[in-house]
Amino acid sequence: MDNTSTWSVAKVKVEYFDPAGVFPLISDQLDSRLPLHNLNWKSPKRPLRSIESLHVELFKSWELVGDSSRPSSRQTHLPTPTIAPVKERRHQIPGLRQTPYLKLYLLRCDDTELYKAIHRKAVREWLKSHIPASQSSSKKSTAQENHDAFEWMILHVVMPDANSASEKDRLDSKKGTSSMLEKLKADFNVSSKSAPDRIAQLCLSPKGRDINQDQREEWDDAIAKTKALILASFNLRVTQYEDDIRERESQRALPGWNFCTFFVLKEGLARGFESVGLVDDALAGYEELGVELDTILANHEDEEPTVSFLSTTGDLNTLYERAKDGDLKSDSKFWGPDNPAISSTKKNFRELILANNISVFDFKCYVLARKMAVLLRMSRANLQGPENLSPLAQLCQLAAWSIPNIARIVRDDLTQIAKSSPHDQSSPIIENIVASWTYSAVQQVLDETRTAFLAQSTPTEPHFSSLLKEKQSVYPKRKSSVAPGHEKPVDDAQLLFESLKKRAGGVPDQSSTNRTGKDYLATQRAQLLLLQRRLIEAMALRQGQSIGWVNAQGGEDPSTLKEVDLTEEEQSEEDEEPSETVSEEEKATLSIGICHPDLYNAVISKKALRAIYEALTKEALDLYYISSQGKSFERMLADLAMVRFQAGDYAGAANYFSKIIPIFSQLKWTLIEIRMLMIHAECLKMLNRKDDYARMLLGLLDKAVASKTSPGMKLQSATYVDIESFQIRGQSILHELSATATQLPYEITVPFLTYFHNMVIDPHIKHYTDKEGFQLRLKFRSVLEETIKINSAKVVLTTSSDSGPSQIVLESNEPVEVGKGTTTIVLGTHISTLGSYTVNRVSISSNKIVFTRDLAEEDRASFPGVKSKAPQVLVYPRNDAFSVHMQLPPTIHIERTRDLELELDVGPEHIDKAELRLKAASSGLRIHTSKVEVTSGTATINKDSQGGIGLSNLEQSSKVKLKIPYELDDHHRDINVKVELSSTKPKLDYSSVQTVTIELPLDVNVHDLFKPKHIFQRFHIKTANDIPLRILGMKLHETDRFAVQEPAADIFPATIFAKQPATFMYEVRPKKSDGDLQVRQIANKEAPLILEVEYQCLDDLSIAKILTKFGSDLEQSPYNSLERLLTKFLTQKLRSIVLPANHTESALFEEISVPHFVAIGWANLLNDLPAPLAGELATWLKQWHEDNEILPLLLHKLGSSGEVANHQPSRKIIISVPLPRLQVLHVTNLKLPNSISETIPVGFPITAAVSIVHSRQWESPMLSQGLSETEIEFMYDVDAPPDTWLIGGQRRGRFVAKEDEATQWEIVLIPLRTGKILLPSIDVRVVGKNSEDVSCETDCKAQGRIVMVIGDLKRTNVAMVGTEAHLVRAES
Amino acid sequence: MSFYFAIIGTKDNPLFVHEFGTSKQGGDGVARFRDEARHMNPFIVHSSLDILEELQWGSGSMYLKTIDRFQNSHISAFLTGGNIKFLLLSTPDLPPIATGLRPPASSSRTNAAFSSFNPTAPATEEAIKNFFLEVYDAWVKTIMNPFYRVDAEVNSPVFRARVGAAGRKFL
Repeated sequence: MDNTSTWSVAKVKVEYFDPAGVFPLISDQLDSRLPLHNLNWKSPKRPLRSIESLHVELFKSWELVGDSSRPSSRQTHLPTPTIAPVKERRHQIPGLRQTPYLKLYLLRCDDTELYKAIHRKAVREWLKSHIPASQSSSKKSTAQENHDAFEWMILHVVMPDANSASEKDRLDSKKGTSSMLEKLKADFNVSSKSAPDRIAQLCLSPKGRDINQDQREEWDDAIAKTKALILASFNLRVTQYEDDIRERESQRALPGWNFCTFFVLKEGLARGFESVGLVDDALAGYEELGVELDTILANHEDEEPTVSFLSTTGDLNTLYERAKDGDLKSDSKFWGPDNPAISSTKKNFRELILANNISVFDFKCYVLARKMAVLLRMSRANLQGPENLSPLAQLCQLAAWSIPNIARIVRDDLTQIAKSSPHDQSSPIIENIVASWTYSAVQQVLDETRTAFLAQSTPTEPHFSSLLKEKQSVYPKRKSSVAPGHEKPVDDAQLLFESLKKRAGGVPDQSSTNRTGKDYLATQRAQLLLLQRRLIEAMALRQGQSIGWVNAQGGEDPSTLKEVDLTEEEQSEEDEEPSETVSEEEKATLSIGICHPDLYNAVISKKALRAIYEALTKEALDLYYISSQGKSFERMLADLAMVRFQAGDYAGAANYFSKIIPIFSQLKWTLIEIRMLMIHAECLKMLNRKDDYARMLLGLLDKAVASKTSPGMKLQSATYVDIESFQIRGQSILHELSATATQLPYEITVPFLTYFHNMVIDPHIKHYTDKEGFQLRLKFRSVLEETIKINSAKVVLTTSSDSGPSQIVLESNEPVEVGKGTTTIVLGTHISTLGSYTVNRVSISSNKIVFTRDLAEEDRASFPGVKSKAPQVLVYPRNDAFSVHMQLPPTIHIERTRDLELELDVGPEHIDKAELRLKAASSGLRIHTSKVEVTSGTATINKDSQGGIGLSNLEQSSKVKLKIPYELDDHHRDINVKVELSSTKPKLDYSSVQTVTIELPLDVNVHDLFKPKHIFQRFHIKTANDIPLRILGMKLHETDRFAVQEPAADIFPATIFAKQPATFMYEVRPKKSDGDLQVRQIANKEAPLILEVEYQCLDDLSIAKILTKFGSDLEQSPYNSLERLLTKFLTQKLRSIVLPANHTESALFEEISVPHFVAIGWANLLNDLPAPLAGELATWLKQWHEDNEILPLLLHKLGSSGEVANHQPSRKIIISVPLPRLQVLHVTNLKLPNSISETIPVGFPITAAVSIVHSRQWESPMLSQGLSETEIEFMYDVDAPPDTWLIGGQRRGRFVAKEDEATQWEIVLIPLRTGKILLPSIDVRVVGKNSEDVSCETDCKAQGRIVMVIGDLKRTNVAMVGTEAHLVRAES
Repeated sequence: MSFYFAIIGTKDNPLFVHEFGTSKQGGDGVARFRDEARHMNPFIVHSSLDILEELQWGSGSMYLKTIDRFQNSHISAFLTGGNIKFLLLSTPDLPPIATGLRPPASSSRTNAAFSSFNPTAPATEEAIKNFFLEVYDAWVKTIMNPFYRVDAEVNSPVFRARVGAAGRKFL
């Protein structure tokens, strides 16, 4: 093979004969016109070929070099004849030499005469000696000659000094020279029309002067003629070659046909094409040759050999022998730039071919080398412009296909050689040589096709991550025909259509047009690199280790590790990598026959092996990046990651993995992803990145579980991978996870449901037998294959109602081994409350890994209206559990500070110390916890408790009552108090919200009647809320100054209905002290009267009755344990569904109609109970309701005394009734004369005496001091209906009186109608300036007195008709 | 021969993957990929999509014949109208080999053990084409399921059975 500089340009040889030595004069001009441009070759059998530029190599006719007397210094000016043409032996097979296509005669002759005398003869001589007569005269020439066919041309050079004297002279001389031209043409041009013009003239201008227009035309003419003649001779040659080839081809079947000669002949044509720059045709020729050679070789053994090849190659034989003897230096390049693996010039191949003395290996190498040469030339056809990359890519592709083929021949050759020489067949020598050759050959191609273009766009390592990112974003866009983005649905048909149209429409064949040569070249180079890489992989495999993904075991083979460990011990090197170096002996064995440094290094050092592998991969990666082959790019990345891992560079590997795993994961290549994840995990483990490692393991487990549980996944044999069976360094994933998790500084929360399915929380609580609180059972099924240790479990219950604690946490702290299948964990709490709770969160933790399920969150996430999945848990206390009940105390003193009574029902455990907190939950409520008192039971209150009430020594199963005063600013019917009690020993947390109705169920009104000696007090009692009341007793307590006279009748107990208020009247009279009536004291000194009312509310009564009955019946039943729950439920229901009207009815009939089973709504409660229990309980409850439809309510019969029936304690209200005050009490009288009989006639005037006296005793003297002695002006008024009485005299009058001063006067009364009529009333008012300040009442003694008025008749006649009497006549 | 058949969606994601072995010449229909090489199959198929994307606009036919090779595996492709790609990776079964001094897999053509398999032989191409057509038939029926959406994985056991049957019939 020629060196690149020469075969990069096509050269046509042109020989010139320059007897006058004018060539140097024209060479400058000639150079500027070279190479020749735009030659159009039209051959009859071929389409028009256009040769854009043809390089011409001018050389002096060497035959005459010796003859000519030109100074040798001139030689330096000659443009190109650097290689002196060697006279070749004319061989029988043509096409071997590069003979000139054109011969030039440079004629210098200024004088016609001289021409005629000397030059014409000289030219003729030249023609005769050089041009075969046949060619110059006729076309009939031998085939032999036509192979070297050439044309000739005479170039007449006119010297400038010949015509520089004057313009005229110049004209003359021009004339003279033109005549010279004419003469030359006449003498030498063939007269035929088709014959080419072989004469051209050049007028040289003097030195330093530019050529003028005429001269330029002359030059153009000369060049055009040169082109035409070159083409003509080329055409001749091609035609001849084709004829020859056709002839040989037809003889193929004949015996004795020799392929080699045919080959050389055909190659001649190809070379011809190549020499004129028709490289495409040349390449086609070589392609044909290559195919023919293959055909010959394929038929070589079957048929009669048309050619005999050497069975072995000499070079290889030598190499083999050297290798065997250990003579070969393994670490140096055997094939390199000096000794290329594929070369067409290493030997004189053509001679060898002609001599049938060539091996198949050499032959194929030669063909390949020639093809490569042509392709390289194609790529560099244009020296100035950019390289054409497509041929380079073709070259790479060709190499990628051919080199492995030739490698096989190398192996066959070597096997042949090995057979003949006694040697160990198992030795890797053959393979090593083959690998070395292949590697070198590929390297050679890579070196030759290396171009600056690829280097420019090669990404550098630091930008790698950005590049990858770009890749990820760019690729789907460019590659996929649909819109990118997974979220976006691909239903946009229009978009799809347009993108397809865009791609398909303008670009019918993408592979050829749309792809730039750069892409193509990059791809092909990458292929070659991969070929090299495969050799390295094979080397690695021979060392028993894997590299890259091919043959990857997912980790290092333990057996290899073991083996290598031993060697390491022997070597006792510090190297971390155990298998870094190979022992000398092994080295020698393995490396025998290797003759490329890369391969040698790869064999002797694993480090180098990986380095080479990585370098190759990276280079391929870059190339794939350039060629936009996204998927191959990704594969290379994966390989890089893997090799880093295998090299122990875990950080690097992890870095790569973290980038590529998402790609494959996104594409859902499960198998790849999982393998990568496993290795990535191992990297993280080695890097001690515990957090990432744990997460990675979790991710793997996640996938393992997902693949196991997704429907239909197991059917897919190809995709199903049992991830759990994978091991990291011999440990299962779960084991690794547990081990790692313990070292984590914080907890990792992972979704519960991923790993544990069928989670069930038994909604039925189970009480502890010996203490407060309850247990729940959490059941779930582990989908993991292995056992996982659970340290603790936790269930959080919440409720929205405020009756109890808003959150209950159940925990189990006993470690549990959770294996495959169902596991039950019992969780407990010491909290005791009543209410319906929702499971809010479930979490179980194994070391630092917390599996959590947030049911509340799930509910929020689900569609509204979908039934909540969170189980409801009905929490209720055991019967004897600690409980608190808050109520009003039985006795309420209206005037005093109100109290709340807190009843603590201490559970089965003695409480040493507890803290009670009361929080007001109603506005304006203030609870004075500091003034708490124990009213019953035993308990000690610790005053020093902060913020709450410290209680201690609460005896078990006892009841303790506390009294706590409170104040209420706002008006409420009910008040709410949150009661919390916590104790540490025993552990107890009680919390509830107590609602107390503070409104009194009864209203009491007082009405006073003042009398001179006493006061009547009337008490009106009515119900406040329509519920009948039962007044059990009533007492107005006398004070030290006033005595009270109770009503005589014993009317209690009395029932008051809503529409029937009751009135009770008491007489209050001042007590006598020493015989005198005591005067009133001032208001704040005088003790008020105390009214005490003992009562019961009918609702309390009837509900208590029902509950008592229910309770006692329940106690007999097997459902005793549910008493608290059932009773509470029943109470709530009864309170809400029984109306005041029902209570009225109960009070009237004295029997209670118990609401029906359905009305109570037991079903709601039963739903929350375990099924079997609920069923039985329902039956029992139904039966109970049936049996107890009506309960007797004996109100009167048992209510004989203060002790009341039904065990329902009575309630007592104490009201202080201050005795009213009156400043002035008038006692008026209307005294009829004694003469007036019982009856008086109508119109009979009666003189009545009116007396008014007033007392001031109902006011304390101190207060009324200013008034007592003074006179007060009053006005009296006698009032009577005008149709009844006619009042004569002073009906109204003013008077002034002092206390006890009687005033008397007379009036006349005339009755106006008959019948019993009331006397007129007398009313007295205070008038005057201080009438507003003085209260005054009148006690009219005459009030209510009746006089009988009769008609004033003397005689009356009455007629009796039967039993009826008729007034007949009356006479007055 | 062992086969690895993959259906690739429009986003280059596998929709369906099936492994099977040849049933011709006494084959039992069981894939015999080497365990350690099994994970290479997705890699190879995935990277051959590069080639497929170049070739798919070149010819009008759905069957693209052998488009790529990797070591001794060959990949044949079939392209549906919906840009779903069927890729069949075929690998000749390896004779059990000692890992010690194995002939290097420097080229797919150098190992004599594989030389019997010619992926470009007309008979092979025709068999693979028939296989693809049969699968395509089943595929169209499968995706006619109204609940199927583009690029969703196909888990239908019926479809899998059909692919298996087609494999037994032709390969």
